[in-house]
Formats: sequence, C-alpha cells, structure tokens
Amino acid sequence: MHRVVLFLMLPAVLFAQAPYKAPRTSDGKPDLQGIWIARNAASFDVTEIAQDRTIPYLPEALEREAKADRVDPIAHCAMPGVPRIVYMPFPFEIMQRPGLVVFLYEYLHNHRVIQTTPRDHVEGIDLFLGDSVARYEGDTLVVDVTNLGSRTWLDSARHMHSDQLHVVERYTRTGPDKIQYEATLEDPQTYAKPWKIAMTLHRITDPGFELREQECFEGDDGRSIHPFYRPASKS
Amino acid sequence: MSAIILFLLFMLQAAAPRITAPGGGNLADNGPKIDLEKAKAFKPQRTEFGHPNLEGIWQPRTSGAAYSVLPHPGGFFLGQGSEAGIVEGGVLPYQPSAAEQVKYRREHVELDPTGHCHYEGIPHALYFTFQIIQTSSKIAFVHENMHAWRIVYLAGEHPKDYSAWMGDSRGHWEGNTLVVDVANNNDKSVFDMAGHFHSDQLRVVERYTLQDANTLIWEATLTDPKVFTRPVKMRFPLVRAPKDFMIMESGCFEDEQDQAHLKGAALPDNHYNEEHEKEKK
Amino acid sequence: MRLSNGIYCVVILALISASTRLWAHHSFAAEYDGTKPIKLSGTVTKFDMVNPHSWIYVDVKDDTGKVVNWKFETASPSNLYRRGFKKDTIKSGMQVTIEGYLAKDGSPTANGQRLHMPDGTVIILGTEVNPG
Repeated sequence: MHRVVLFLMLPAVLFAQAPYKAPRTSDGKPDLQGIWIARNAASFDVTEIAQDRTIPYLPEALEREAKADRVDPIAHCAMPGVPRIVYMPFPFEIMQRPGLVVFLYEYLHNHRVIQTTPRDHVEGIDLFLGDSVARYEGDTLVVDVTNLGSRTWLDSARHMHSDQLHVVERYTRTGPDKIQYEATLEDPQTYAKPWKIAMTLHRITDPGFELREQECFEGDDGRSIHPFYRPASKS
Repeated sequence: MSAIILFLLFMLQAAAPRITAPGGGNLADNGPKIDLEKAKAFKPQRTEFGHPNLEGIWQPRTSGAAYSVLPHPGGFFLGQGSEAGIVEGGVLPYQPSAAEQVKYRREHVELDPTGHCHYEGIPHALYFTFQIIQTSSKIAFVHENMHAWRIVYLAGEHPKDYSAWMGDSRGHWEGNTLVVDVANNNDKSVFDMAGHFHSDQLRVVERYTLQDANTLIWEATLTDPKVFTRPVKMRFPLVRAPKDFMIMESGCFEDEQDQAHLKGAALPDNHYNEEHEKEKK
Repeated sequence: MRLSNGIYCVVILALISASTRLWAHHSFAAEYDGTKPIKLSGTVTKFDMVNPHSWIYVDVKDDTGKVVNWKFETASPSNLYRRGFKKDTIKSGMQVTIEGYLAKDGSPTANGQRLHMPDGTVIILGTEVNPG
C-alpha cells in the first residue's frame, strides 16, 4: 500500500522539484531580459546577503580598513563597483544580443557591455566596474570580473577590498519574475577564503515602467548632488 | 623629385588657414563623403526580428563639432578644423537675445557643463564613439564619454514632467532609416564648447541611415522656438570602428581638476563666418 | 633611390599625424596657453590613472635649487590604455622629462604632451577623447 502511494506521489514530487526553464532568446540562451531590482539592505551592509552573514577577513585586512578613509566613495559620485552596483536600490535593464549581454543601470547612468564569447581580461588598468567577460553555463549567465581596483566599497558600511578582488557572478532565472543572483568574491589580500553572496532580483512589472536618468555631480561645496530619483508628478 | 614636391604641397595645404564659404556639400569634411542617393539604394542586413541592423561601434567624423558645430579653424587644443561644420548653411539662426548669450558663454568657459562632468545630451554625445545595440522594442546607445547611455523606445510616449540631460527618445523605422524623436531636453546641455546653447524647448528629430556596411549617416532637424528663428539641419557621417575596438569605462568622477584653473577663461571667437543669421525683415 | 624612399616615409608620417591630430577635451584651449611650451625634468612623485584625465606629479628643481611639485594633465585612462600604457608604466622615483603647455593661471600645472622615459622612449600623453 505504501509503495502505491509513494509511486502515485512521485510525479508530483518530481514536478515540484523541476527547475524553472527560462524562455530562450533568438540564439537559444536563457532569456534574462527586462528591468530588475534588488530588494534588500545589502547596499548598507553586504553581510545581509552573505553566506553565514559574515566575511572571512584576514586580520591585516581588518586593520587596513580600520585606518582607511571614512567617506564612502559614492558620496563623491564615484562608480560603486561590482557587485555593489547590482544591489544598489535602483532598477537596471538587461538586454541580450548574440555574443553580448548589456546591463544598463539607472544608478549613475552606469553600463556594462559584456561579451559572452571568450577573451582575455585586460591588464594593467583599474576600472571601477571592473573588466567583465561572460559565458553561459546551461541556464546560468556567468560573469567573470577582474581589474576592480581598490577604490570601491562593497557597501556603505566600509567593507573594502584590494585590487586583487575577483568576482564571479551567476544569474539564473528561477521564475517568470525572478532571477537568482549569486556571486563569489575572492581576494587573497583581504579574505582568508572565497565567500559568497546570494539574493533575488525582482522584475519590475509596473506597466510602462522605464528607466530614468539619474546623475550625480559634485557641487562647488564638494557635496554630491543626486537629482530626485523619480520626479514627482505635478498632477 | 615628384615625391619631394608632393610632400611640400601636402605640408603647405595642411598649414594654410582655410577660408571658404559656409555649408554646402558634404558637411563634416574629414569623413567619407555623404551620398544620400547611395544610402537610399543601399539594402542593409537585417536583424533576426526584421529591422535594419545598425548595431556596432560607430566612430563619428564631425571635424571637431565638440569645439564648434559651425565652420572653424583647427588649432591649439581646438582639434580638427572644419570648412563646413555640421550645420547646413553654416550658421545657427539665433534670436538676437540668444546670440548675446552665446557670446557671454564663450567668454565664461567655466560655465561649460561638460567641464562640470554633466552628460552631453543629443547631439553632443554623438560626436564621440558610441555603440548601438538593438532589440525588437528598444535600441540602446552606449557612450564611453561620461559613461552615458540612452534607450530609444520603439513604442510609448514622451513622459510628462520629466527633463533630462540626454532627453527622452522615441523611435520608429521609415524604410531603412531609424527616426528618433528626442524631447524632454533640459536647458543645460550644450551643442559644443563655443557657447552654442539651447532651451528646454529643444526638439531633435534624428535620422540614422546606413550608406554602406561600414558607413552610417546621421542627420537631424533641430527646433527650438525659444532661441532659434527657424529649424536647423545637421549632418555628419560615422564609420564603423575596427573589429577589436571596445567601449571602455570612462567618466568624470574621480579627480576633475580643470575647473579650478579656469580663471575668467574665454575661448577665441574665431569662426570663419557670420555665425548668426540676420533676422529677415 | 634612398632619398625618395626617405621622403616617402616622411609623407606617410605626416599623413598619419594629420589624421590623428590632438583633440580638445572641453576647455583645454581656455585653460592652457599654446604660446607657452615648457620642458621640465624631475622625479615622479605620483601617477594617478584617473578619470576624466590622468595626472603625473613631478618634483622639479628650479634655478635656485628650490623644489616645486608640478602636475601634468594627460589623456583619460582608457585612451592611455589603448596606447599601451599601464597603471605601473610610470612609477614614483622615475627620472622623467615632460614637454607640455603651461596653464594660464600661473600655477605649476601643465598639459602633458610628450613624456621622455628613463630608457629614452617617448610616450605621447596627448589628451584625446575618442577623436571624432
């Protein structure tokens, strides 16, 4: 009797565990296109989305941080780096073309145009948003990011890194309106071992929603100015 | 012997100041010749969703439009000179009060918004290399300068109560030409460094047409009833970037130091021609 | 034959240099003086490969022996990179000579044009911004 019940339950169990199969782009890749946004507090403190809620610091790296500048670089309109740009509380758009994936971030009008065919990373130049090369692994877009320099913070809680930081991002559709985002961070000068963050990216489904211009510039008094996020409607 | 003569002739013509009549022919004289008939006849490759394929990285040939959209000589830090500029007719038809403002701005270069790290707007952002990425509903323009981007929506309306440096762009296809209507422009972006400005009434209707697989023609009609007396037409060609060219990270956010050194700085007023059309009686 | 080959070479170079003439970024013409070229030698104290323009800082001894720290403005990081420049191409302590144009405001600031490296190579520092 048990076996019959279990057998009848099997399809339900299997079906419940079947991973979501994302629709495909015209060249057969998992379709990640649309406008997405993170809904968490990682931009304040990245340990919110870190595995075990902790960062495995090397003791000397913690000492370096304690002595470092106290002003968040984004307060001077610097670009926020990777992965912080992904969990800043602003929407971003993903576009895909054969051989390319394009991220258009509303925050500071940043962009990443990333090729999905192999190439060597650039060498000898620090880039705030790093140098990204991508590939598809089954249903996942994998983005390998190097050359991140050392001038960005991972959040406003002053979690820093060295120019050895290497980030591997993974984007996987888990539903019609969800992407599971994971990233592994390794930095032999800052962390005792690689560590991971994970969060959901939510599709913005408001009809007619479009990205708007967002800029930051330093006024004469050194205070950075961000125009209103969404200009209030006069009506 | 003939090689020596050729060389001397070349150096002479490179050194000589260029004084010619405005407007005419090609506009933006350092690029491939614009041939609108050829462009009309050209059959571009299409994307998998059936639109003419304009994708790629494009390098504009504006002959120094970032210095001035009008005919101007080259020179120290003024880049390439241009006999024709990129404006049809070689003049900008400013209303008299606006013409005064142009002069004032040229005498106060510290007011130039790109010096303050603002986005360049349309058409200014197009004077520098950019990348076009197309989907069936949206076309992205990605610029290295100021790490700017804009999305040309192939549907929808211009939003109300919205004003932006890069404006709001809505496009549609007319045959093989992408027509883009740019509205919602703020009054702060400028056409170039030579004081040529506009109001928030600026409307730019752009036309992108492939002349051949590696040549793109940009044309536009600009209207601004607050500063101009009539519509203005602009035009320049763009060439496809070499295969290994990559748009890289750039911006104006780390260590902008030039502003501090602009003490009452003025740009030379050395256009070739009368810049502003006299008002017709 | 040799003579005309030499001239041919110069013509090619002239053609190349004409098409890649230095290009202005916003207000350089207002900030620097084209009639005041300078050539200074000294010790590099810092090299900032930053946006929008990179800066090279050099300790220069004047005629009285006093040391003044000069700063030279160069192209953006991405444009330097396209010329083969890396972030460690210029190091603190290097003895260099830089040719450029003086800032109009009298400060020890110049727009860097050519950098003479210790090994004799000359690097163009010119401040192009995606020439168009």
